[in-house]
Amino acid sequence: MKNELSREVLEKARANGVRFIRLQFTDLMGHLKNVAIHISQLEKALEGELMFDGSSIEGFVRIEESDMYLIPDPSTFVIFPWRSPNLDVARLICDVYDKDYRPFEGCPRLALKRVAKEAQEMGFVMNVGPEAEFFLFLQDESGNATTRTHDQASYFDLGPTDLAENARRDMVLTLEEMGYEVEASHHEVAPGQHEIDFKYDTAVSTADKIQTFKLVVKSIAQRHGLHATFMPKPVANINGSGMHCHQSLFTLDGKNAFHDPDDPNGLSDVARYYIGGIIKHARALTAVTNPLVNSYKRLIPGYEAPVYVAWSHFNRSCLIRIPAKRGSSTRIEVRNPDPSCNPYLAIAAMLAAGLDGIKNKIEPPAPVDRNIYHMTQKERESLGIASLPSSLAEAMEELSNDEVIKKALGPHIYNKLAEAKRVEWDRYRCSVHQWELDEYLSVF
Amino acid sequence: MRVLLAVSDPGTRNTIRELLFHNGYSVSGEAHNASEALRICRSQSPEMVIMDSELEGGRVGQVAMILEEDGVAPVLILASSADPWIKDFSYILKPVTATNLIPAIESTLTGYRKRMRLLQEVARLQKQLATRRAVDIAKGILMLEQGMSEEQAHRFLQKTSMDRGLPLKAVAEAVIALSKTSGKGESEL
Repeated sequence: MKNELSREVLEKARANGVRFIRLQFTDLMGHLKNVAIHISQLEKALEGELMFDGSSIEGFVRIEESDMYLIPDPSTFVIFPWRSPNLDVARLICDVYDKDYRPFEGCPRLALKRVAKEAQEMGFVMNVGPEAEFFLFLQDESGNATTRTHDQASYFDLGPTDLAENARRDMVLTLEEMGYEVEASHHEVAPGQHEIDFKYDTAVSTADKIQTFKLVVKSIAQRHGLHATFMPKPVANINGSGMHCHQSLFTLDGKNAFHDPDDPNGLSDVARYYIGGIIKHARALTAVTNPLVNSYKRLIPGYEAPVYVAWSHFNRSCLIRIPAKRGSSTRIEVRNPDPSCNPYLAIAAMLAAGLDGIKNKIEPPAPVDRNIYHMTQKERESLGIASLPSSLAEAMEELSNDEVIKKALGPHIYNKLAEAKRVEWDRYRCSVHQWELDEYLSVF
Repeated sequence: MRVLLAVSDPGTRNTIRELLFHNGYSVSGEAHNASEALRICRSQSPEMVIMDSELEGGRVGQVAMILEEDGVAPVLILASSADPWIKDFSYILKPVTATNLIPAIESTLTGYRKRMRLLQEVARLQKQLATRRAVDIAKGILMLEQGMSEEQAHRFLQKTSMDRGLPLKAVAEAVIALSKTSGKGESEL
């Protein structure tokens, strides 16, 4: 076996009686994919000798180049703690390589690694801490999702312990067993809405953790008769689910590059330029951080979601908020991403935007410490505050004109994504929605 | 004893409720489908679940499996035929009468309690084994790197554990981690 880590994985798997290993990777749409192998194939897999047929995965490859290799990252080995006697299952997260062992340009994890490497060449390591929100809804009698929360359930459902609290506690315990440091877990503003925050980590590790986090939340919810959804706006007129991303750059010797004790606001030039870059590319990167038709129903005024491209030390109506902590905790909070995004691509897009700001010394506009929701359009215009895109189509149009974000994704991923999103938008545009029937059917 | 009754048909439900009542059990909740049964169990922790194999919406086997795996409650299935999946659980064949229901409840409960005790015992032994393994490796490291005798190494780990108020396993793991970062690893032992 080539390296120490791989040997440790093999030993650990055998010592713990693991029988199956799921080789995981993420497709362009952000869905986690699995190829399950038996323990007898683990050594071969760790040597990078296992092939799979990539053409069966949406948005991956053309038929003629369908044979791909999954190259496991041994540092991601985790045994699933589901309490199931006959399912001794572990997972390894993989990068995807083509049949000639070249990094596959359609692998989102490799796209993020490319941008992270660029950051490293500039002397920086990115740290990201996500705050993913989700809804817990009741399952119907066939186990399908509804949009009813248990607050609206029949009296039979009410017991001495709160069902959702109980499920969330189980989620936190499971995550902790898998090595997460859970920092906060609470009920959110809307009925049935919850949030679990875990400790920040470097870019790729955080994206890995977000994918596993979603899997854990969904699996545990299901074991409680609930359906967990990361859909950004499942119910109109209440808050949607976001995934605010706290982020900072550290120097290679471990100092926070966003902090400058001599600046009146405690922010370094690097931080300011990073903010400048995010603001410059905000409208385009939103296509990646908010990738669904439904994402744009969250980005409206009145529900704590950002609508305007601005930054602030205090208020939460802006795209970027600067949390008060300084020193090694100095960071910015980007508030538009939602948990339906592909975390590898979303983090890659944000990091690329920030790095572009640093490279080109892009000064951000002055911070806006008033509530922008309450400004008139004229006031916003005079302050040069743009709006985030109001639809997926508008965001994709912006993305098509932004070479920096397109380069971060790479041409393969960008083209596949543009095509898939055009089809998605067309399907939405061509359907007749309930709203239209309610509004017009009886009137005209 | 509190029983959750998950039966879709109102007639059967009434019959069983009456049977249970006359035999000293109380029905603490009623569910009309498997998802609902799962939710009620999670919030009310009944001592026993009686589930009809023909609940509306199905998924009875799946939910029964979750209840048993997570140690939520023992499950007794009311079956109309001995389908293969039903044999993973305690079951009786319908029609339900006092003669078949009451002994089945008792034996399901006894079996479940025995199994839970065994599972606890297994978990305890696994923990002990993991500690033992870590302690053995840590002792080896101390003997090799610090020139301690086995007895001294053991005493050192024990004393550090007592002094610091840390579990023995945590102390052993710390010794192993420190040895790894200083470049001398488990592999040299």
